[in-house]
Amino acid sequence: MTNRALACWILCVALLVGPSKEASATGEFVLLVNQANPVTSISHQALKKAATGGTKQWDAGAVVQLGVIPSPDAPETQFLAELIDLAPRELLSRVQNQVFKGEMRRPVPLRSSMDCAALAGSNPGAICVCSAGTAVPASAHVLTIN
Amino acid sequence: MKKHGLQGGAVLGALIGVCMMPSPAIAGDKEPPPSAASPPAAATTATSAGAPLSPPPVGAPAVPEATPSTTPDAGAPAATAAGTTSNAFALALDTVSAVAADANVVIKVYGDADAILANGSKVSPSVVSFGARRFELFPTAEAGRVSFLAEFLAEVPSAKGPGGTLSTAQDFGFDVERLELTYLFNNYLRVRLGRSHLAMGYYNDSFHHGKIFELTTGRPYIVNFEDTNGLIMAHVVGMGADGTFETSTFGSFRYDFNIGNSHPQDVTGVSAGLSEAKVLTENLRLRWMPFDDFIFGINGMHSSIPACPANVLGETGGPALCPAVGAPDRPQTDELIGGVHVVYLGYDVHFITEAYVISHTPQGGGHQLTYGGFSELGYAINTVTPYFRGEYIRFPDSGDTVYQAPDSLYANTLNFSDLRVGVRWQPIPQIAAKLEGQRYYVGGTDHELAMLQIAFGF
Repeated sequence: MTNRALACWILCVALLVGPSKEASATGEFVLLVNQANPVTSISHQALKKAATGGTKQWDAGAVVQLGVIPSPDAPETQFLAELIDLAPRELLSRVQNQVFKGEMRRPVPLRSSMDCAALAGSNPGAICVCSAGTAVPASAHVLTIN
Repeated sequence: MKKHGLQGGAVLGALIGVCMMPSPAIAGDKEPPPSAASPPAAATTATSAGAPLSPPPVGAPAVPEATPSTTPDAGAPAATAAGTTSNAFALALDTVSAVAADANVVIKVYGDADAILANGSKVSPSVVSFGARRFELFPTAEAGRVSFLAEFLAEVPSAKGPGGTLSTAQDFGFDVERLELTYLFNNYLRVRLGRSHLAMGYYNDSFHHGKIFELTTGRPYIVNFEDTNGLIMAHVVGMGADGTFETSTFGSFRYDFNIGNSHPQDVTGVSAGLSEAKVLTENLRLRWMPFDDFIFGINGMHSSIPACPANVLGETGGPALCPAVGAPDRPQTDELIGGVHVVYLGYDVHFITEAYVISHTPQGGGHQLTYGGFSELGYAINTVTPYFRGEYIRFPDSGDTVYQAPDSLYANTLNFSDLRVGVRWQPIPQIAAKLEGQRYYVGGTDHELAMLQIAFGF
């Protein structure tokens, strides 16, 4: 194989893999809230406030309840942290600190995307991240990110 | 903030009993779900842990395993008198636990240990020493819009003495540092009752007794706790309210208001019972947050310090706690504090600056003005954060009636300064290690310390 052919293969592989990585960062996870929550879209700034105790109640009246997988290595946690411009570890530390300050209620510790779907379906104030392939219950809906 | 060692054991016992109970399988919110449909099986998994923010162990069961019941065994031998007492206690504990489980109580633990290298006999009898000074339980509970939190702290006192000498206290004291019951009306109004940190500046109610959250090994002196050389009233027992208003153009605005007991006669304590002062403490803080992670705030506080005759001794029978400088008695003193703070905590930057003016006006005397402030700066590089903090306090030329008692760190001091340089390493969210060098100037003398502190929170 010549050098030119090798470079061509590398370029082709890069083109194929590149968009796929991008999709995994932005298109494979979604934010879920309860169906009773009329909010359909949320800005990055508003999400940050909801996830770190700045906003304590949704407009409809339910108390904000974050659900999070408490591991910086969980892709759902990484996705949430990326949305609000924090490192996953920083997000978890900040949440822990806000709870300690009394500024936000304890997050519900999740173990998987399915847990998020269940939480969003059962808690009127819930907000959490799940993988796009997760079956969303009728009592929850996806939040668009502005 | 005087320590109480006896009742603490009973409270701790009850808390440990509560802690031993399995967490309830609830949805983390007492509000009814919008649909009658039962959540899928995963719902239990998702919400039953009720655990602190730490990763669940691999392979751990989704629902906590039941712990042995404390209910008396029907097949147990006939109870003795001691056994009856034990059974009654078990039943009482069961009732307490049932209530606690219904409210979804979670208890976290915080603490720290350290090693100190001091500059010889000027500040400490030993050059190197180790400390395990603090251990605390942090229970929280939520039920709908009501939430509860408390901090139960066991601590070896660490206030510095005259001339900057380090405390050689060895015994743990026990204290309830926070005890708050909060009701959330909406984003504009949240009401709090109990004992909490006064909403003054940024540091005081952002960092509490868990050292893991602080960038440095200790609080700035001006906002330190009452029994640890602090100048402001760190704790207040009373009521508080806060709320946040969002605007589309100017960012967010927040207010915090406290009303509660004033200082007790011994200003190193907190007035947790009937107030000894004739007036209440009022405190108002206003904040503007024009963009993410930036805060500009101001606050004003009015309080009163009761008169203290010179012959009142310290709790341990030590030197008199409150004779005025140059006078036999300390008269009732009016206290006014004004402050401003600027904070930015984003993009790995940690920046906190606060400045205060404190006015003490003894009855029949003139104003005594103390100025002080500090600036704390750090920059996180992955898990490591190098930092710096500088602090300066200027006492009145004529001395301060309240802060400069003969046994105080600040006795005979006009200028006080503290410089700290260090590095903080937080490999996992539950552990922080800090290595710090400190140089403080008090009473006309410089002192140097180096400290390694390991703080944890689980």
